[in-house]
Amino acid sequence: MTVHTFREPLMLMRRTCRPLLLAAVLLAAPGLARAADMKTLHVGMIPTIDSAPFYVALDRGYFKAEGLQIDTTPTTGGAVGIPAVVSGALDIAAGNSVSTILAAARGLDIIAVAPASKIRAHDPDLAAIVAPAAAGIHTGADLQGKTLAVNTRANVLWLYGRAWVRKTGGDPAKVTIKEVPFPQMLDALKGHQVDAAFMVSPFLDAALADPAFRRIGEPYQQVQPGVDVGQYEATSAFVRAHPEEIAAFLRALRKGAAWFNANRKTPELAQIIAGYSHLPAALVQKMDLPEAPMTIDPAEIIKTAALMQQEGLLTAPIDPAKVVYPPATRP
Amino acid sequence: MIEEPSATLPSGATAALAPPRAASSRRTGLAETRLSGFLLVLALLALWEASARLGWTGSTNWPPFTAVLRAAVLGLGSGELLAPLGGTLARTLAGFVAGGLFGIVAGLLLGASPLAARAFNPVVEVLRPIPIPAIVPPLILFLGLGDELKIFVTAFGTFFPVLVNTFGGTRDVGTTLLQTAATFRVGRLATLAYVILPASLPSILSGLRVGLGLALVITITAEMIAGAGGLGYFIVQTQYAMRPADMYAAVLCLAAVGYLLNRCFLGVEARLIAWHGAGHRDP
Repeated sequence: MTVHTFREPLMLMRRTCRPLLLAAVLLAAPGLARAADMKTLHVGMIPTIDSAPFYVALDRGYFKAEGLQIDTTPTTGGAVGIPAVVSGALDIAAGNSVSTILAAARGLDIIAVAPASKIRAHDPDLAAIVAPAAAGIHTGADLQGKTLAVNTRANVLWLYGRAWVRKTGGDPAKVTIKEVPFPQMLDALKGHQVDAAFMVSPFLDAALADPAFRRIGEPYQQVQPGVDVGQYEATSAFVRAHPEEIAAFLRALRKGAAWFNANRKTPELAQIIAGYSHLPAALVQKMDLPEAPMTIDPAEIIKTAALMQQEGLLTAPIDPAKVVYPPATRP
Repeated sequence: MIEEPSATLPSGATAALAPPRAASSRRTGLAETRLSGFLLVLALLALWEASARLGWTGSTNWPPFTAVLRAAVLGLGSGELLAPLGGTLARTLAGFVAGGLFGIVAGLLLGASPLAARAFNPVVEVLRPIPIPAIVPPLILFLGLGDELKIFVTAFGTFFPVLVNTFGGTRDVGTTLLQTAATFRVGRLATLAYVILPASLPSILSGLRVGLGLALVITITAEMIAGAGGLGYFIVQTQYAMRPADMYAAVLCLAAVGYLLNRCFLGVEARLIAWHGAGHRDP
């Protein structure tokens, strides 16, 4: 009885309101009508330069055009992004191939759904090992008995740093690898707390602006030119449950990547990057950004996994079909 | 701990008699220590300014103090710093209140029941030393990246010092007090509320004070690890954006907030247990 009396006024309100609402919707701009069936995706982002194509798509309304409302949360990378995706706090998170493969190998339901960044085979890379110019360190062999800084242990820079040492004649077991956050790497070099540091832009540019330091190696290019470093991750359960949203996300992201590739040297792009990263626009404008990838290359994922096995991060090879969303591999 | 029951009980008479004498003697003592402390802070700030201006550190991450001050004023004025500051403060206080209340209740219960104390003490001792940064990533699985996570870890960190101090406080309640209550046939619950709780208030408050300091630190740490918003995230963001002056401006704000929170707490404490302070701080 109480339920009935509670509902009655509501029903009455709905009955009288419905025609009014309908009229309002019909009269309103078509954009408003579309906003009603917009799907929201919660995306964990690492606000670095690598994420530029995503922010281009966001800024230029490509996600909206695909009917997607994007809610971004900054994360510091896979350590935060993957648990958040697995728990459902995020639908998609930016991460790298090493954390994706590690998560999949540990039995987590994680797959890469879209490409984020790729290392170009030519031109100076935006990631390099830096050492004092006067130290006489040129190869991995020279680094033996010395200290190399990477941002996170047992992750992507750690892996390629070790592989570079091996490739250039050193034994990675004889190199002490220290964890130092990117913003502190240059200070650690200056303070002689590390002998070399694996840095990325813009910190790499800041270090190289000082004549006392120079790049001694480009581990990605030297070990695996064209490596697919960054991807967007989701659970395969989410992909199965929301196939349209994931496909729309990939389409919008590709439009962002295409615009990014066509406008790499423009002030508009520098403005977008400065907007989300809070870096000075003048500094961004000076960078020679690599092209954004349109697909994830399963062959590169296999190579990364093989490298992980070589450096002891993985015990068995992985099936790339199980860690990559197939449409992301096709143009 | 030998104490006169009259000094431990919140008696209006002793509280009214003691303060004037205590306040006057405390004022001169505080003025001296505060001045010397203030001078030391000034000297350190001058050293900071000089080291940055003269390039002693050779680091681009070490801006002069005046640049930091300028960034703080600009950031507070534009709201870029004020909004995260408000978020951090709200999460700190929410976690502190939740953790503090649970800590007091749990401490009193453990104090009242030796059986509960024996049963729960090992659990407390195991959970207490867990470093917060270690539990944030697994907790994301259950609590997501939002405020729930940050408030929970803040409450978790506040809970233990309050619990341990409350429990310790109940242990130190004089037998004279308890026997007096028993003699007057005061019930168990009433004894807990009117004898044990007020008598352990000094310990509870010192636990809360430790908890408050921790709450701010833990909130910042959690914000640094997960999610957007708050001064913790702002500090990480400005580091990665190569804006050290803005980063130190946030650190400066944190120092000021920490100082103010502590002073506010001392003010509340002085009101709540004036009787205790008067009995103890008087030389």
